[in-house]
Amino acid sequence: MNPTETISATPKVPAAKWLEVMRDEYLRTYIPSGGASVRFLSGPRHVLNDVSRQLVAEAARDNFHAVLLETNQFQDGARPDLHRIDKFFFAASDTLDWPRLAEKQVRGILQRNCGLFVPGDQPLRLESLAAANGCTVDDVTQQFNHQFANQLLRDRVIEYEFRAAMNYLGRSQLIPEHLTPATEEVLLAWLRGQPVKGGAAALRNLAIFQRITAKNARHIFRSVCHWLPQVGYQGTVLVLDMRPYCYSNRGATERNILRLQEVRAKVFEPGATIEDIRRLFEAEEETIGLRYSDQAYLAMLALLRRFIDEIDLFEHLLLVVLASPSFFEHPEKGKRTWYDYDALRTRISQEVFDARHPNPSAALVHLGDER
Amino acid sequence: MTPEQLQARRAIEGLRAGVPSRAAVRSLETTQNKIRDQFRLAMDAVRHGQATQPLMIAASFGDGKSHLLQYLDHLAGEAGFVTCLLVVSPEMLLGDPQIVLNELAESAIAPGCNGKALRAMTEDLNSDRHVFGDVRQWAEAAGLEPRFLALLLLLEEFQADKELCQQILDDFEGNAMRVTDIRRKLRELNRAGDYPIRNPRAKLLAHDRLRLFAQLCRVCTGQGLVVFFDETERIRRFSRKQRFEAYREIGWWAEQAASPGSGILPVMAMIDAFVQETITAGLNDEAQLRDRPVADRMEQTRIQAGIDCLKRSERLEPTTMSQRDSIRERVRTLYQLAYQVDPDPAVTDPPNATTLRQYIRTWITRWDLARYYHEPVSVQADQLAWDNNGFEEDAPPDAG
Repeated sequence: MNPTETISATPKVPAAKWLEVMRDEYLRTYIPSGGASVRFLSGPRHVLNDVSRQLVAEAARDNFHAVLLETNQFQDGARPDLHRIDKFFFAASDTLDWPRLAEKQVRGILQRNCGLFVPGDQPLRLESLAAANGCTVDDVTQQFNHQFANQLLRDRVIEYEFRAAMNYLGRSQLIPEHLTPATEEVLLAWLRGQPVKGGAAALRNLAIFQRITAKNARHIFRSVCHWLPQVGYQGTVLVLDMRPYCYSNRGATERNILRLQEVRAKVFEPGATIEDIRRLFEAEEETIGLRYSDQAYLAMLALLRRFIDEIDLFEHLLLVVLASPSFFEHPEKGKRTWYDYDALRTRISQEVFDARHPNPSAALVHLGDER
Repeated sequence: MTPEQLQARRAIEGLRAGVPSRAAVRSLETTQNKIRDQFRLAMDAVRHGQATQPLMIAASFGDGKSHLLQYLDHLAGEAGFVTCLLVVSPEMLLGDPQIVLNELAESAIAPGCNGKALRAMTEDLNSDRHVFGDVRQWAEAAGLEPRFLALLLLLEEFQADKELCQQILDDFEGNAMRVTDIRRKLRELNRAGDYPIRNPRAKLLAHDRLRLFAQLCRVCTGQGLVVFFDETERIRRFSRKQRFEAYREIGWWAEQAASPGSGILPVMAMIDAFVQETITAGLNDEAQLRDRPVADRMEQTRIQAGIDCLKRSERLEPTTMSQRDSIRERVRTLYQLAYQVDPDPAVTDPPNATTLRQYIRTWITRWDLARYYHEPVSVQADQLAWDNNGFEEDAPPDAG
């Protein structure tokens, strides 16, 4: 039996088994050691919702930077538009507390690289560090500058402007005068993709000459994935829900007409199961929310294709992509399927399979409904 | 995990998915010795400023083209070249040099660096001002637009002005600096009269920018730029106009490779059926080119040159049984190291597997299933349906 023919005929992996494999083979070993992977997941709506929340929660508990990237609702009044790599980066890094992480890096350097005693319960201050270690402020500064430069500024995996940003944020944790509050605000806004009036001049003083855009966001994202373990994370786990992209943005009336026709055809179809009809109604639920144009949809597929092709340039990253089962069906007029983008389909398709034993390690896994 | 285990695991992850990965190519290398040797010779030619020609590779789907491209990319990176792997698609239109430039600027990798290649390469050139002077001399001899000679002069003279340097590099990548700003800086050097700066449309300057990009790669690394174009057969899905534009651009890349000192080596991979289905029969583009009225002889010549390049593509040699056995043993060793298990060395091949990619995926799938199920499994291979229906907004293939 060919699982590429219909989803209903495709052997399913129990959600619990898939999570177990992710936990044991990725989160405990591969990702923390520096590996990176992209996984595609489809299944009933409630199963995908449960699995994605569980994965993110477990990863967060295990000290990963874990984020569920949702695409079906406005975020702060704006479309998420995660098919754009810059928006993807901002969404993926939105919850990172940059000043706190910069401070962690500085503490780590002072303790591990400089061999200094760093009181854990006090803010970092040169004078108190010098006093705690029986040396002068100049000694501490000199040691820190040397080691900080070695670790950060010479790390060529870290993109130039991100290096500059972390350089200034890091030093300002130890030497507050190094960065004015206004400049820190501009720097944080730069990292979050938020414009600040008059901020360009302040950024130029920090040797940051470009906003984070589609042209450099990928490099910066790669840098962040590389850098986060240096400040205590085991890695990054992102679950991208691309299900809203799987549905055309046709007008509501036309969709309703098509939907009624599908339901009627399915009810009278010989051999149709309750599950088939349930899936039709679940698909209806999934169409509620934001819709994406054909252009945005293709851009998302291209973005994912590129992640697959370049995944071994990344470190410490697990990207799980949720897609609707209908996306993996055969092409039909008016429907979006993976046949719209051969380059993605040929990269994740199950051309090698066992009809009775699905592989939970496969690039594309269809989860079963255990209700 | 040890570093060796991590690399093995990376390789297996890529091979399981049928996606070429750097870890996999480093471990498995290639059986395509003839093409590898041709590539090495071509790299030598570029390094020594000699003429060469694009390397054109053809094979059936799943027979290892992309793996070979990754391997050649790895060789080029190890040799110190800047490399870039571009996948032809409706978003990466081969026929639009501005789009190719944008993709190249963003994706090119300088050896040992992350971030955009131009920035990474020039970051360490604080004291090597003469580098830009050398490139400026080349640009003048090569007949580049005066704006680029001016910008190279500014790069040489204003090294300490990091913001200006960044703006100039951005211009080289396709984000044009304002002419007034360029003239203002030239006036500071009393050189405003030396360079008649024009501001033609970006698309018209794209070729100059590509040549300049390659030249900077050559002088900064001592090697040059290798650009890999994968899935070139996707040209077939374009409209006729777009296909001819793609052939024209392939002709342009061939001209650059043949130009001594250009620093450019293009490599293109495609499905072997492409030439017959699109150029010599099927869509019959070569005949269409002959029959259409010639408006621009240079363009016509370039299109024909592009077609000629595609027609002389080198087919991958079939993998022999003993090579396949050797590959299986190496994949098995990788799997053993990655998962700390002893995979069955007697794993059989599925009866209907036809491509090397299917063989490799089958072995790995069997070993995966052995870890999960502890019972007999039956792995089979299926042929992927290759020709899609095309997306509604794509122009029909024959539209002009």
